Amino acid sequence: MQKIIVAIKRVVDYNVRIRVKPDGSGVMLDGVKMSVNPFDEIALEEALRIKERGTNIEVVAVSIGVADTQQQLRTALAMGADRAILVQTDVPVEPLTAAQTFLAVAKKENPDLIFLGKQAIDDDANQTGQMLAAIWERPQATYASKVEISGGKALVTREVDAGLETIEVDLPAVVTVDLRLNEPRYVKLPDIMKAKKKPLDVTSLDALGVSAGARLVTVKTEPPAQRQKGVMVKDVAELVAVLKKKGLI
Amino acid sequence: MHKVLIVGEHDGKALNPATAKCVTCAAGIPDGEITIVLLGADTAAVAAQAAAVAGVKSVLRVDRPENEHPLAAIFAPQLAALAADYSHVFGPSTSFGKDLMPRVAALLGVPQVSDLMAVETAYRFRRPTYAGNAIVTVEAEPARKLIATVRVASFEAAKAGGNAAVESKTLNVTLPSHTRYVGAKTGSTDRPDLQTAKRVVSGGRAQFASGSCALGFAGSVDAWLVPAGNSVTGALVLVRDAVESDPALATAAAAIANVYVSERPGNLGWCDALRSLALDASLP
Repeated sequence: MQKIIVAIKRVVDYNVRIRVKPDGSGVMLDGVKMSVNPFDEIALEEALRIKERGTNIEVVAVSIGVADTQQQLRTALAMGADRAILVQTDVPVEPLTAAQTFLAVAKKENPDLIFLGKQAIDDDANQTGQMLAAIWERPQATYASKVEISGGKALVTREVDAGLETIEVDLPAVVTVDLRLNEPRYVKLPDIMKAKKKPLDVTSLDALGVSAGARLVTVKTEPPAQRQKGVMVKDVAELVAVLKKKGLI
Repeated sequence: MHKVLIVGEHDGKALNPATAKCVTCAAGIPDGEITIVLLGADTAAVAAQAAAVAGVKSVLRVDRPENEHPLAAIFAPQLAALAADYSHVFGPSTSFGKDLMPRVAALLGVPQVSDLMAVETAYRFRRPTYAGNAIVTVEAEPARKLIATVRVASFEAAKAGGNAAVESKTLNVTLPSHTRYVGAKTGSTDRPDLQTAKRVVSGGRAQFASGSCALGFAGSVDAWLVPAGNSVTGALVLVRDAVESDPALATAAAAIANVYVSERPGNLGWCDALRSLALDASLP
């Protein structure tokens, strides 16, 4: 184990209440707080823990996005990543394009592991990790809640609908992480100062030979249907009575 | 004409109800013909169940020993090979489908529409983003194969009464050996999992903070949620920030199998949390 790549996405902070633009052209992003995708923070935390248990493991944070994405990469460096790469682009990147970009980076960096969040909390696509594993022709272990590395293999416990599933994958591999894997560390002020001196390379989709063409067109964006008013009940008996009356049970 | 291939989810014995919901979704594709494909070690019993789903034209069985466990790395190349004959390939938005379908899409070099919640035309769909706080309408190019996961909570299961033809298929696809199934741990309970539960009982801080329920958190889980969950045989759901804010609730929740915890963190509020549970299938 020598190198781990962690994918970092800049997204609207999870505390921000999303509002849809009245003209249906998207969601309001002006002046909205942006953060590291929470699942990507968990991915980075896991990489850092593996680094701290081993020797001479390099953790590289990689992101694709606008110039300001450097802020999120600096956060990743402050958490403990050794260096960062920003693939700078002003156009929105679809999951397949993101996967192709990470593949291009992986071919240069030859990592043993690539960690990603299981999904980003903006588009909720839940695709990039799986797509990357497919085109890299390597194993995928999605929705990881436990990762054990030994002897060129990873034993990964996955959160699936029926409970927990464990698979073994040969390295290099792609692991996407679920919420219960770990609790990311807080960034300390001295680490923020140190992070300013860590290397952050900026490259482009062109330089990596990836075309950014959109394959899916977003026609419009709407707010969800209004939720119907609820009913307060005082105990289980009343709840069951109400449900029965509505014919739900 | 559109030919829709649905990847059937099953455990070797029973067809997962998510599959019949995908059939209802696929039936919304104009001028469509629906095929269910089943990958497994022995899919005979499951194929009979799939053939009985109304609206299904044919059922394909791809039986081989490597297909005993649903590993995306094993299934995806087989599905990518099969996809040649179809315009659309749908899988359920369950942990099975969400793991598998993007791998299929990437092998085919096409994008995926995740969590499809409504079909407008054969290539135009609605799906939730931002945990259900923004619904987008997306359009794909008809020239490309359309890969999608179907948000099963948005569709009723197709009724029984079908009589599809069942065909066994042998695929000449080399499978990787880099991914191996080790084991599974499932909750030992009579309660259904969240994806297949017909009814869901949810609980969290807001419910108890309202003052209408005098029980404490830990007491609430036992006295309120569990009896309600049992009497309606539904899945139980708690919201993560409620669980994490109270160690007693966390302990009580941990003692109950099949309690699902919503991931939407922080102060988004109770309604958003419930909506995210309903819309964002990223559970448990």
